[in-house]
Amino acid sequence: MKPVAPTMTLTRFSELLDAYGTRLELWPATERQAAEVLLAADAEAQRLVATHAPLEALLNDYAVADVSPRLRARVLEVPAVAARTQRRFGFRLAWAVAFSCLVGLASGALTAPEASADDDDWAELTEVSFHSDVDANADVASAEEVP
Amino acid sequence: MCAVVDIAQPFVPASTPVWGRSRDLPRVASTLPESESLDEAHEFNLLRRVADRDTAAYRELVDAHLPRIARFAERLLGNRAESEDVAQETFMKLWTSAATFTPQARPSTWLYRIAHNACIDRLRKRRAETELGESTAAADRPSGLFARKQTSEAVQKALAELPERQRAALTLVHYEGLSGDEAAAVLEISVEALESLLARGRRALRESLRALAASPTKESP
Repeated sequence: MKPVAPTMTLTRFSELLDAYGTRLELWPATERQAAEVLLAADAEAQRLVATHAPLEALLNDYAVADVSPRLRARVLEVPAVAARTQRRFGFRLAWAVAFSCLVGLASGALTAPEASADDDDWAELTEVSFHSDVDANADVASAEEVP
Repeated sequence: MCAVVDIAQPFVPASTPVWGRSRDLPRVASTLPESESLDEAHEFNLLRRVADRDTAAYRELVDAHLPRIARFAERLLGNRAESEDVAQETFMKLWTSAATFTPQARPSTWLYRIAHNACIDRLRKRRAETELGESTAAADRPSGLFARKQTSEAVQKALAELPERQRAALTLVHYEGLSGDEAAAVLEISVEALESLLARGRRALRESLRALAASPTKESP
């Protein structure tokens, strides 16, 4: 049996032409064959393609220069740059930790004498408080003894 | 990637004017993708090796994709220096994040997506700067001239005036030769939405390049 050629409406053909332009290799693979069949047979489809051709030609005139060897070298150096950055980050992190420790120790050393003075004050206060409690208890006890 | 059709068999009917064919076809070859030789399985294999810090695999991916990524960025940004920075950022991301790649799309699609996002960031930043009072030189460029360089500049300007997503869609499909499925995956939209972007972009370009598009018929002998 002879295979049946796929079909496409002119509306769909026009939609695809609007989207993908006149280069058939850019059209969806599933619809290319049907488009070719329609294009070969339909004068209106051919006219539509002709109206899109000038824009296509202009777009193809916009060329950009090839990649420069300098850019290629920059991009190929990325692994080395990344490794350097990582090492530098690790080094900075180590320095930051060490610096924090040093600052902590230094501030601890500077504030240590004040802390001992506070301790003395606290001890003194505790003692005063304790004694005043003892005195108060003694007062209460002596008051209770009074008939 | 889409299959490359023999350009000696163009999609141009016999009724198409000669200028339409002669201007169109020879340059199409330069827009065809360089990475066609890398099949999908090999690309995945290379990416796995890059994740293991294999510089030879990285070099192979660079050679296959750098020209396309750089061109894509240049057409989106309209600026060579910035596009080179985007290309470098894209491959830096490839090197540092290959291990986190999830194979929902092929690696080339992932690279385009990284480059696209980097371009969008730069365009937004540029727009914010322009709103603060900086002017663009593009408006001063001559128009209506027919020399190829000037035509190229006019097309560049017309493309630059398109909304970002229309420009990205056109660049991916027309210049980079991605299929509708692949371009839609890069832009993270449906194929229908992509076709709509493409059609609107082409319509806008046709409008802004009307004078130039009409000129070849008058110029041709």
